[in-house]
Amino acid sequence: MDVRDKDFHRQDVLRECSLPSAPMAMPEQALTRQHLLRNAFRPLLQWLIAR
Amino acid sequence: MVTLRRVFSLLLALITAGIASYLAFGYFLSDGLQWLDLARVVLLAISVAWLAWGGMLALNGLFNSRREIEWQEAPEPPTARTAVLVPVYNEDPAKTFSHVAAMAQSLSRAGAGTQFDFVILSDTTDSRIAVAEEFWLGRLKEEIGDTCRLFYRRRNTNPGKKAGNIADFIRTSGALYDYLIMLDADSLMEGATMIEMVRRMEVDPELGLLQTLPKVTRARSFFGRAIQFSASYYSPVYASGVAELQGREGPFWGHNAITRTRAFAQSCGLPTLPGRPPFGGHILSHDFVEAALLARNGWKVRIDPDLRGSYEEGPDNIIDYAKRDRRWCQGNLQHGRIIAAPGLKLWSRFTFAQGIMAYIAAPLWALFLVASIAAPAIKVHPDYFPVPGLPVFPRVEHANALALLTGVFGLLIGPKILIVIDGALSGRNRRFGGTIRCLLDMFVEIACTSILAPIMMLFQSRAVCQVMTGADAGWPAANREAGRVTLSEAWAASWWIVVVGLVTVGAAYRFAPDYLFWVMLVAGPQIAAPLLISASSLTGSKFGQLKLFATPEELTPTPVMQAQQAILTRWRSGAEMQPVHTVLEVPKLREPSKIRAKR
Repeated sequence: MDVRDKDFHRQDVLRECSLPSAPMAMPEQALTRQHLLRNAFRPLLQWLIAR
Repeated sequence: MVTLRRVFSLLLALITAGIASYLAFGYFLSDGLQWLDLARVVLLAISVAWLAWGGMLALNGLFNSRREIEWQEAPEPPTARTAVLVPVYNEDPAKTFSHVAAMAQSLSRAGAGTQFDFVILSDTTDSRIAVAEEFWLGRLKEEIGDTCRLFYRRRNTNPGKKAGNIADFIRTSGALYDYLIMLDADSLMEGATMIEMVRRMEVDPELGLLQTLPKVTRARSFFGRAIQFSASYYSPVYASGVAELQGREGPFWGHNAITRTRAFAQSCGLPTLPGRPPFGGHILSHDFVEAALLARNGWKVRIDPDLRGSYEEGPDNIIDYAKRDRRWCQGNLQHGRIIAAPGLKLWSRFTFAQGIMAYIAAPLWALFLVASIAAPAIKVHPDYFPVPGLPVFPRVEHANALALLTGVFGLLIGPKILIVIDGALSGRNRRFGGTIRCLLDMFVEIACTSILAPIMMLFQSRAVCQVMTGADAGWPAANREAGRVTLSEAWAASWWIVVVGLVTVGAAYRFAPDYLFWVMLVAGPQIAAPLLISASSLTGSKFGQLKLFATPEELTPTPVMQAQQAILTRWRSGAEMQPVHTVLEVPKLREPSKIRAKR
């Protein structure tokens, strides 16, 4: 079996194993932006360095 | 009831910290109190509270009656459809796919092959490995035949990393499946375990996610086997403690777990955090966040430590361990931004705090040691004559110091001794070769972890500093073949630890010579770090002959473990196929992206 045969076989397998389409919605959560702390540690670190 | 257990456990941990602070305060007060002593008391209180909390988890685990229950294999295969997701990222495809083949055959033997589909979700960026994946996919397809359906998808770019990979699958194909079993590339599960997981999800419609406790397997080095023993012997008890306190807000560790597709899709769309890494960008330790989001939406998240037949692999040397720790550290500290997000359950927030504390603890101990060496240097000499004529000698509270030291050691090794006693009483020790063997393993493990602790403390402290300052020093290349770390590789990774150890000894000699012996217990291993890192990565049959750190899975490999090993050996034997290097030459002829474009 030469490389081209292997390629052909591989494409066959890839086609056979390709994912079926059955979409499901997955909305992004609303915990981002205004609710998230900007950086909980940086002010603490800056305060420590300043000391 | 669970609230009562939580409050009681927290109170006990805080009371322990309070007693430690009281003893330390008395000891420090004896030669005059300074501001540095107050800092030491605070640092010690936080560190002891953290240690005591670990002890509380062990105690809760020891009193969990459901820890060792026997479950019967499901009489009938499930009717629900489940996808077994195997995300891969530049992994050795032969090895990963041999795991898939063994699990598919295990499911088929249990009569449930048709209800489970295996989905390999590749985020591989290395084109050579991508081609190898496609080659081994063909081999895997031949191996499993029609026992289970098999799908493979590779993303050209990998936004969101592993969490993005899973989310992409759900958005594309999630509607086909009631449940998703999420694995890692090195995960392995018995078919009966996967069927039981589906059954438990079916029984409880409110259950959004069920986590198993994966046992570490296939460790070869001394270090790896010590971790493997800990994970097999101690972890089930600690995990039972977590289960006792979890309520509806249990943990998710990202793999070897099953989730209800609808619940996950509805709850776990992850935002990209504003700002730059390490605190902004994609959420790295997404599993904790996903568990919190499921709980926020009213779904139950639960760990069932009694679910056997769930395995993973662990790092075989300290450098790999520290590298993984660096990633986890960044992920856990990033949770500092999410901890205050609205709507999360209090216990979910506490879980985030625990994750952060797991890494902050190391620099806190380091600061305590630094403060303890510095304190004598700025000590105010006592006034022996507060009243002229009659000398007053300060009373040194040695009893306090001794009690404190005993208490801290007790918190460190007490839970392990209790676990051995419990194992002797329950008969669990027999699976590990008997109680004498378990005691020996425990003492060797405690000795090793005690020696390595000062090194790990510095690795973790550096990781915390790097994350907090946004710096990343990178890692020197290491030979990962067989997990062995040479002395020069160990030196390259840990020379700075040697320097820290030497500076510590010098400082102690100069400022606190009375404490030099105690300081050497910490600085000694640091000075010997390259030796210890290299030596602990040694592999050899002697450990096996001595049966040191033997686990039940090692003494008697389970069917799926045996099947996986047999498949991999056969695949790699060369008798049935061409060697991998031939396959890896294929990209020269045709790029994988072109192959996929034609699909």
